[in-house]
Amino acid sequence: MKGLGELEAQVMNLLWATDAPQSVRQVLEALPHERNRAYTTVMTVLDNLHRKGFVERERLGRAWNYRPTRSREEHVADLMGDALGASGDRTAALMHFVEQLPAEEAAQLRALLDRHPE
Amino acid sequence: MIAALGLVLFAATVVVTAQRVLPGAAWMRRAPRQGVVAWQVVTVTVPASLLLAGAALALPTVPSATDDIAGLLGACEFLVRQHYETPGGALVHVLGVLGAAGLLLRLGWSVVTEFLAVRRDRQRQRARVALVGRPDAVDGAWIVDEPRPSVFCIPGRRDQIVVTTGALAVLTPRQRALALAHERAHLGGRHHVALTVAAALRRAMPRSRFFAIAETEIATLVEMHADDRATAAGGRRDLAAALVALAEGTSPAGALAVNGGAAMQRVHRLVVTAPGLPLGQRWSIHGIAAALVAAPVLIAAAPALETALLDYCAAAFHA
Repeated sequence: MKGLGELEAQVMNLLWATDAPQSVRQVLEALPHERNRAYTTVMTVLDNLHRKGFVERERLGRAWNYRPTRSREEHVADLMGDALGASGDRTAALMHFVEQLPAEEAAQLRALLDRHPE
Repeated sequence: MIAALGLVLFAATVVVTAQRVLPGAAWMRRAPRQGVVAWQVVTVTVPASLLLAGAALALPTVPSATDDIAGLLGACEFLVRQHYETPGGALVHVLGVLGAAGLLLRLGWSVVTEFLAVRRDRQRQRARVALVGRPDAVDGAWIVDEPRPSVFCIPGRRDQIVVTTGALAVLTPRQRALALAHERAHLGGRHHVALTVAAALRRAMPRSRFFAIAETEIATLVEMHADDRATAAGGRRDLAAALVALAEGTSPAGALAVNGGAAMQRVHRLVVTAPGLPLGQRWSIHGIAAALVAAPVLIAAAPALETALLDYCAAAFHA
């Protein structure tokens, strides 16, 4: 099932875009209808997201309602914290091409590059 | 006793010499892959020597496996044991065993926890990228909407290379291709394994400057190696320009340099110096590395070898 990860992202974007917690039914109906998607597929996707800690759920009547634990921006900020090498005691989880440098060091780099044209 | 002392002395000599000779060595900057291997050899041969020292102290107390074999071989075993005897007797043996076991546990524990922590962090970040990013149809990289420019990879079985929209804005297509090639070189060279082992050793010996230096050096050298791999077919100045563009970022005030000197060294070697070492120098490096790996084993085995040289023992060993 190649599409499941893609669907997870789609569902997540939907939850980020709405303020109120959403039921499986609501998510299913809000998703684009181009394919015949089963209720159970959406349930599985929400269950996966819950297991990974991306959504929390509460029972409303007979159905579970889901909402994101963290905003999209918070996730990006966390990712970039690792990517830009800002966290001191990082693991080798992530390898960046180069970290962002303070202005004066970056200027020295630029000067060195400019001294050696092609 | 002599073997254990020799091993400890050897380990100390390696630490002191490596700390003086290796950090920032010019030949490593020219041949970063050999540099990584050199650091790995010295950081592994030190704990290995200490473990063997503990084992050598413990040897005389190991129960005999040859009780039933009377005569020549038994006599030889007695002699071998005698050669490993220590003045302190049982107490020294016990200390040797405890020391070696403690070191082994500490190293093993550190390596296991480091690998688990890295795996957990990676899984979390990979899942995140899949949710907040979108795969690029052309080169398979993940694009994340983020103004700060960054290119990075998350290693593992389902590895990802991530490019922020901020990076796309400052890189030319050629620079972007080279930066991605740099990340692919990391993944293909399994650099994360070298980094994780180095981090585990540093955490196992938190007060040792030696292992901290080794980790920083290996981190710099794998970047240089990835630079070289990415530019094997040319484009060193383009890659340097990409590096500078990303290092400048968009909000320099908020940046925190972890290893700014390394970026300078990388740009310098990309635009000024050519990589590569003469064949002779490469071979001498490999020779020294092999000797450093073999030395602790030879020192540990020296008393046994000495025994074997006695005439009647030689006969028994050859029997």
